[in-house]
Amino acid sequence: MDAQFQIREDLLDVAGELDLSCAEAFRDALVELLEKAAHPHVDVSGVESCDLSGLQLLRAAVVSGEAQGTPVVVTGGDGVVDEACRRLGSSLGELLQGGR
Amino acid sequence: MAPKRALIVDDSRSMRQMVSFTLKEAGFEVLEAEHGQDALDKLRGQKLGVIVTDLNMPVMDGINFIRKARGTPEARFLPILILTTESQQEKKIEAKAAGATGWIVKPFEPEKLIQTIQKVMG
Amino acid sequence: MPAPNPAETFLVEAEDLLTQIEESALELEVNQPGGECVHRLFRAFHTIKGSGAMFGFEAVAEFTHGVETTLDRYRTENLPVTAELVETVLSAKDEIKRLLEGKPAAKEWAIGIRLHPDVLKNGTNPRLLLDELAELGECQVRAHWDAVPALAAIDVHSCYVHWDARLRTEKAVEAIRDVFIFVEDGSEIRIGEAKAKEVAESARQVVTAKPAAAESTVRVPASKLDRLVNLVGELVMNQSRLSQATAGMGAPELAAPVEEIERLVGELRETVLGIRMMPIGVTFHRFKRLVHDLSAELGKEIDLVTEGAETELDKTVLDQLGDPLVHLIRNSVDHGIESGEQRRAAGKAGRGTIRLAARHMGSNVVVTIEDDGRGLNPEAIRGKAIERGLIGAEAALSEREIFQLIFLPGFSMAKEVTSVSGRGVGMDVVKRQVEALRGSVNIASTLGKGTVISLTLPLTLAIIDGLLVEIGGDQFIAPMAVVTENVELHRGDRAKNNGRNVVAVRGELIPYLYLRELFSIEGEEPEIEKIVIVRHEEQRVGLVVDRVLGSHQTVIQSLGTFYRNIDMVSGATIMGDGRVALILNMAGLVQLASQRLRTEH
Repeated sequence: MDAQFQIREDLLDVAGELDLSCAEAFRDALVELLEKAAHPHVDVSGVESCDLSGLQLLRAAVVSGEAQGTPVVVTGGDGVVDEACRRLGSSLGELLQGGR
Repeated sequence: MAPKRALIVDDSRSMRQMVSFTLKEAGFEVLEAEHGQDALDKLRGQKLGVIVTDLNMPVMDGINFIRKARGTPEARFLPILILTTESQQEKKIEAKAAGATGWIVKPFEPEKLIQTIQKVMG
Repeated sequence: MPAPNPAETFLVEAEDLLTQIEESALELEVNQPGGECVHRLFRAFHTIKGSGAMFGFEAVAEFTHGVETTLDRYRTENLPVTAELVETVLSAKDEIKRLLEGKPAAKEWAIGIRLHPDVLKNGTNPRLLLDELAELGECQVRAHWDAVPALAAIDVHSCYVHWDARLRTEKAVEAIRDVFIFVEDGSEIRIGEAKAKEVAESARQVVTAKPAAAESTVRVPASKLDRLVNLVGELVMNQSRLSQATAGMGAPELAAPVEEIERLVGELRETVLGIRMMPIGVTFHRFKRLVHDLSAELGKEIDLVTEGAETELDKTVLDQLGDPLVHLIRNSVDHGIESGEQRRAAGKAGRGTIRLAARHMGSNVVVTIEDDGRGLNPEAIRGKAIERGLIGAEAALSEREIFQLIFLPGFSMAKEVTSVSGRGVGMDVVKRQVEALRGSVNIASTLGKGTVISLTLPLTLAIIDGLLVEIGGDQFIAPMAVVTENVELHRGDRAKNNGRNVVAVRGELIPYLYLRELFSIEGEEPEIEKIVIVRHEEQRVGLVVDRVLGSHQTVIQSLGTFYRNIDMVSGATIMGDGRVALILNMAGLVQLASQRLRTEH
């Protein structure tokens, strides 16, 4: 399934195949979320696959969220997204450990 | 997982047949095109996993094809392999600059072709 | 008893000799004549050389010859020992060990990977590069995310991540370079030999899983391990009793040590169970040959692809997994994958593929056998099931339910008996074997495209979390994973249902079984009994017991062969007070309940 991004209030629901072809759309969705949400929350439990570009964007969102004082919460990443991190020599925990 | 569909671009029928046969044996669905322009037409609307293209071709050569293919939604991020010869080292660099992912040096064993495709496709 | 294999005996002997060599080498005193110690070393190397040549370890013999010559000089001339000699002997010992294990000397490489930012745009997937690197040997990779900028600054198609890798491989450095051949230009790939100190450091920092690989090992008989597991199990039980007892005593000075014991026992349990874990790769390996031989016999071309060979499972589970896997793979080769002509006629590649994969899912391991063959034909299965009287002609079944029919005893899809599958290789046997491992089987198939069978198996058989229940004076254990809830059963309620054993739980009628009756336990049931509701493969069943005693961590002792045919019980456990509690077998009980329900209707 092509990736889908849906924002409802503070929550961005991400689903489908998170890859290069949807990277711009993912970035736009994250930017919108960070502009609007007081407590930005990204739920990635619907992600079916995820490549490096998708992970980099999640990381970028965490970095941005911290910089502007609205830390981003990422949930549902312990399956597919964590696995994607592991295959790239990392883990979800490391990925989300902001720009410290 | 990337679809096991390949587009072969070569003006030599025998070369196309050889590549195509090898890929089909490996479980690929294969589309063939005779030159760059033909390939651009054929890849429209297709979900491909890899493109293998020759460099010297009439109408539109491989380098131009890669450059144009990188501008299409279908082939923007696809692995694109070029077929080249030992004597064309500088072509590799040109092709990479145009957006090629890697190369296969002619002549090659069928096995080497499959290995190289696996290298870029997984 | 099979005749001992001399080569294997030699390997065991050599291992002892190498240990002796190490001990003797460490005994040597620098600047003193070696004396008896050097004699011992000489004899050990000499034996390894001689026996090695005899049993086909020529490389070992050849290498050992050089060391032996050196030692002979020290021996005959009684020269004072030098530090170099000690080093030489020790490294020779390591080298012989490697040669005996059939491994070329592996080197450890430190690899720094900074890819050109544009590699993604050129169709390169860095994950594939790392995968390829990992295929060269034992590989640990660490990604660095620090360079990923904020959203406002990011070029979504650029690569910002860089990696450090440690690779232990016998392959030459060119093989490492080859991995990066397409991305060399503009990327910075540094490959250097890792220093020992850095190696130790990296080992400490490792984050990613490494592939199955041999480390230094100690061989221990499985029976000793089983004993250890049993002891730990008893320790676990008694520890939980201790915790309960102290909680009721209100003795605060006991709270801290009891808590600490709880933590230690937990850690001990994890570690001991971990010892029994083995990578599934060994089992997988057997099947390469099987598929090769079977497909040759049938004139088919079939590749076996394996994934997740490093996935670890309890040794007991692994040992008993072989049979069902052989069945399933045989079925795939024989019935699943079509002949080359049939495949080509159907527009498929002439070569078929069977994919055998293992992966973790929670506290389970899922093993899948996937083929790209003809797939199951639901209509044909349905027809067959009707013909065999397994279902009525009007039965409305979903595709999923239809596929489940092939697990029924006596159902065999094969039109003809072939030498490969033979007779009687029913899927019911596979299902039973997997259930005996407390696992379950699932099947999915697309006509013309292929079939996927997945086996969900527990990581370990040795310890389960169970619910302890009591009937009369007897105790039973239901695996916690299947228990969904408990409800009360008043004596009056029983009569109300006209003796039909069903109970309504939130609108659903659930059949229940009287364990008292099933296990012929004497005595009278209490006024209010408990029904423990369990779920097995989408079916819910109630088990009537006197009392629910609570959760219990249980070590399973397998029952002797005498009891193995009792479908209702899968094992037993010895309680802290020495009493035996039987472990209930859900598959058997659920089947029994549904049979009874059918006959009642």
